Amino acid sequence: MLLKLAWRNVFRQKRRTILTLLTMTGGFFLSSISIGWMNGSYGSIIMFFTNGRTGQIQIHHSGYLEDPSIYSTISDYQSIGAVLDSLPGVRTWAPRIYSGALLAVRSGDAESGNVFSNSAAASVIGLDPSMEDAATDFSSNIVSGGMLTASAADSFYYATGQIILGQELSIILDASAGDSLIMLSQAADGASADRKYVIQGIVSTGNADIDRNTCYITLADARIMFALSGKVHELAVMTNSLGTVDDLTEDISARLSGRDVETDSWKTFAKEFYNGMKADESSLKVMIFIIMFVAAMGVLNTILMMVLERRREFGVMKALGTKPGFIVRMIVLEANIMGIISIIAGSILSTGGLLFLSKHGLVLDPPINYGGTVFSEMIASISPDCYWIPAICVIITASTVSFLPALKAAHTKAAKSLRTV
Amino acid sequence: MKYLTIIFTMICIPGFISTACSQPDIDDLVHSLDRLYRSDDSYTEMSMHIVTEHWERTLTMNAWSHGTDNTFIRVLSPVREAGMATLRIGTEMWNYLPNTNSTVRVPPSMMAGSWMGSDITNNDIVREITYAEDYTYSYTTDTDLTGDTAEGVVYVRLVPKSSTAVVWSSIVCAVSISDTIPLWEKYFDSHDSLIKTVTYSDVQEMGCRTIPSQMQVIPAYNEDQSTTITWSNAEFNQGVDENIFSLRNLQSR
Amino acid sequence: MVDTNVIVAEGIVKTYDDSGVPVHAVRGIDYTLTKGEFTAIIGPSGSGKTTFLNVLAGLDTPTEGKVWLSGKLISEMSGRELSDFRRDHIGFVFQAYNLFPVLTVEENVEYIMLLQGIPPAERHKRVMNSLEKVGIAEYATRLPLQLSGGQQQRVAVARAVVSRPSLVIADEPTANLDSKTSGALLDMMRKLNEETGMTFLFSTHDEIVIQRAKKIVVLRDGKLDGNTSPEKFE
Repeated sequence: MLLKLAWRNVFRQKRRTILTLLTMTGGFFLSSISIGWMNGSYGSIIMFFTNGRTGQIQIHHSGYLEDPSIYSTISDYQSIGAVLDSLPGVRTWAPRIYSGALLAVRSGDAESGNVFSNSAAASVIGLDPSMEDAATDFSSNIVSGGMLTASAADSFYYATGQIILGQELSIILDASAGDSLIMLSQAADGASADRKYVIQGIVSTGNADIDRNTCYITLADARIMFALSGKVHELAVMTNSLGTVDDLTEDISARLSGRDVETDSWKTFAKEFYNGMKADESSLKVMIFIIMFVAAMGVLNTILMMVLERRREFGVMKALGTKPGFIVRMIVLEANIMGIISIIAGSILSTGGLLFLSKHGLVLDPPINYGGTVFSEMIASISPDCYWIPAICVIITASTVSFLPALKAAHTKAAKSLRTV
Repeated sequence: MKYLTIIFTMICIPGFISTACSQPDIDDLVHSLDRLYRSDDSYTEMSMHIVTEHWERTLTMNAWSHGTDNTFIRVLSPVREAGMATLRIGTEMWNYLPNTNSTVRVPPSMMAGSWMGSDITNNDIVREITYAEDYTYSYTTDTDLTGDTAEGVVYVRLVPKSSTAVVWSSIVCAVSISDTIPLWEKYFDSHDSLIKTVTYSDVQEMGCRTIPSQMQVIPAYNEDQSTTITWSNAEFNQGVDENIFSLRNLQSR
Repeated sequence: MVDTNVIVAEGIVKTYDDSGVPVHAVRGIDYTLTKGEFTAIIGPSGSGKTTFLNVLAGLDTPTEGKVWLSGKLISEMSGRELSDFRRDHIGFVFQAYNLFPVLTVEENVEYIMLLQGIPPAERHKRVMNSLEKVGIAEYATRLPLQLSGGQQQRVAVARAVVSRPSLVIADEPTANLDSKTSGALLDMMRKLNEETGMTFLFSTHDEIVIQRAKKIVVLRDGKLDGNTSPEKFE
């Protein structure tokens, strides 16, 4: 009877109910689209960021992230790689060596001979050219010259003497592809090390800070330079999808337990980036709150009008011996019936909208720059979040907004309301 | 930095001899510290022993200096680094690398970096500073800074003048009163936290003056790490060929 | 004798506040209504009829005095107790019918029994029985707004009597009806009164009601002004 009463009451004032339904459905739709759109664009920003550089998971020697020292190395990375290759969630992985060095190039005048007076400090990344290309598509960012020559084997004897410079670094050094440079550093055994390299190419990763102070050599070259035979500092793991990263991180971590390594997801090793993403997520929450607040005002207005109009009816109900709780339940139920209808209608609309936005992203003009990476299009993704979050918001909104008017209605004085004909 | 001057620019002037055991005049004391290793020119032979968590190594080298501007250092051993040389002319610094037969200028951004993997920075080699001119100084009895005090030792607190560009905020120097020879120097940051300790030991007659023949630098961030320089020979004011301080000499083996 | 008294009211005073001005609607009434009566309370507008009726029905609490209904002291009951008491002991017929517009005739009549928790089969039986008694069983599945005023008021009567209350209170039941319809409605109610012995208490100033009442109570300025039979009144 309660349901029957509530259901029929909802459709008494058809026009008003439809307006309210439109408001709530609109709120659901906007929230749903926002979530889908944000999730989608976050997903693509994160994948773009991690695929282009860091990977979604990284493996280091324990303690390396806190104190990245040249001595914190992984010595049996090939066997770790075999473990990674056996996991279906892993797309590919890339080994890396990190160090720092002084780079020096001859100044422009021909007299300079062997004097290399254009010098700059730089981070040196040793990488496996073919694995790096498979992982981050490194070659695609090379703006002049070419990629480092892949070593025939991962061995000490296959040093190429080739180097790739970040674009800004090449400008600072006034060097271009084909020039030679001297790299001076200190090896892991403490000895000073210097080697001559030929600039193979110039790379622009899209992040000027990185391109200003980074150069790349092959793993084999890095091993000679830094006396790190058979060792690497990092394995960057590329996964098939972002959603599985947390589980995969745990899985890898468990499989590698016993080795002195730590496995972290991008949320840990790219903490700043992750926190930036989370900050954006809270602004999304504020947005949903505002949308729902506007919708709630519409619903509140409807319920208040309805309670006012039906005052006499509540009086009669009270006179006939109806308990206040029954009336409260009836009105809250009425609001929730409208809520459920809105959720159904909103879900249908949202699915359409999200499907559209997942195929045709919104073009950003001007493009936004996120962590040095430029994004010009935002694409939505459909996930359960797009439905259950707005649905819960609608139900909570309907229940809270209707509760006070319901209480007011429930305490209608029968004698008073009946007197006013 | 004081000990730099010590390493590479020694002077042959007899040390200031205190006549009494009482606290000497502080101006005289600081000037005598400045004079201790300063010279018009010098030639020294030394070894540098570096100890870190991961490795331990010893380099031997010869060094020439002329005035306050010119320094030249040639590494003699170990074999892998033999022939490496460093030339300083004023604030410019060059490294010669025999392996690639190249001369590399050290850029300003690397001046705070380690020299030859030691606890001595490039800046320490380049900088020419005197305590008397670039610092304000006074005796201190603050045991928070000096630690346990000893008989016959005075403690000088040196604070760099605002025009003096250094990364520390004060130096506390312990000096033996009887011969005005420094025992140790402690470098502090702006929170009076220790940055590093330099100790002087093994006082010897060398190049006709009495000086500590050993100096050890221990960084505060890792007390298991140290760089020890030991002088085996020193000559002061014997005249030095100025052609030594040239890029051409740097590149000759 | 107590069990034949449906209502016993002693020293009823009701004063309410109308925007700061105290209105003395009822100024001390002693009244007894016995079982099987078919009584009309009459009096000019503002004589306190409705207020008095509300107090007797437990819709309003008296400022002073006591009301017993079916032997229970209702003037001192809590809201919750009163609510249950009204549901089980009093049937209401209002001037404006006040049926629930979203419920069918059948459901309107069923409503109170639903609150009382009577099983469905029993409910249905009683609903049809009541509707037959008031003569509109054929409209059981219609909505109130599809009926005429007289028919709606018959539904209201059916709703009032369906749970066999001790007392049916009807506040100006004929005010919105024409005289022919009013007469038929009152005849129907009188018949119910005579057949079932159910007690009826009206407030009215309608001749048609007054003529058919067994007993007339005149209210003037919040006080009883005589207790008479319709014949005497005329």
